[in-house]
Amino acid sequence: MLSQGESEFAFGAVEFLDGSPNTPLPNAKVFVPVEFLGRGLEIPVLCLLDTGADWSVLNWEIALKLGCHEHTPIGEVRYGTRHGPIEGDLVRVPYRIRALQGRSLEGEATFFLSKDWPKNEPSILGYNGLLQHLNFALRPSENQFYFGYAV
Amino acid sequence: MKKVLAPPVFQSTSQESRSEIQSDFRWLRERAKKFSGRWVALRNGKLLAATENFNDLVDEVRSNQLDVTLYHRC
Repeated sequence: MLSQGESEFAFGAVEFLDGSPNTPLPNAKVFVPVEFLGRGLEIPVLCLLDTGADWSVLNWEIALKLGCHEHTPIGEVRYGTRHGPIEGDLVRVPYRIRALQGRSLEGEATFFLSKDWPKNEPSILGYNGLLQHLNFALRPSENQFYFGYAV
Repeated sequence: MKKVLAPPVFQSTSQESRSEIQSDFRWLRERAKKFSGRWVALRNGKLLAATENFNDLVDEVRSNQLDVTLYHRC
């Protein structure tokens, strides 16, 4: 897929949406299709790629349906957001990025869950516990998001 | 904190791709505004179902055995 020297940089790619899904005009936001897994369900949704976000966030309604709120929390945090601080738990959530080219990535990563997370905010792919462990790159001319393991 | 920041458990898989995602993106750009505040289930750029809450949407999808390529809250 993509290599850097002799090592593999990315083994899969998927198309991203450049702009808020609910508005017709493109903007600076990048949304990546991600599938969340649990209770025998696969829930494909768009997640905002946000390297400036401390934590990944999963929409509370999706977390409830998948039973993620029943996972043993591995931490509690007070997350500073533009809506003010929000209290919540950090849990490990199974997910998949399904490749349109190459191989898909399936794994488990740390997500922030809170019933107070605003309903109209998207789920987020943030840095700690997720993006920090991935190689990723964008090809804007083709709206391709490339991904692989960070080694 | 070490556990919180632990590397994700990864594997690469050969899942069947879902090339319909472009059609779903197009549907969102053109029609999401009409469904503001509601959850929708899409497949290949077609609306399968729309509900007020996510739980009802997934239940409807499962009871009708629909294959969804994208869930989204408009």
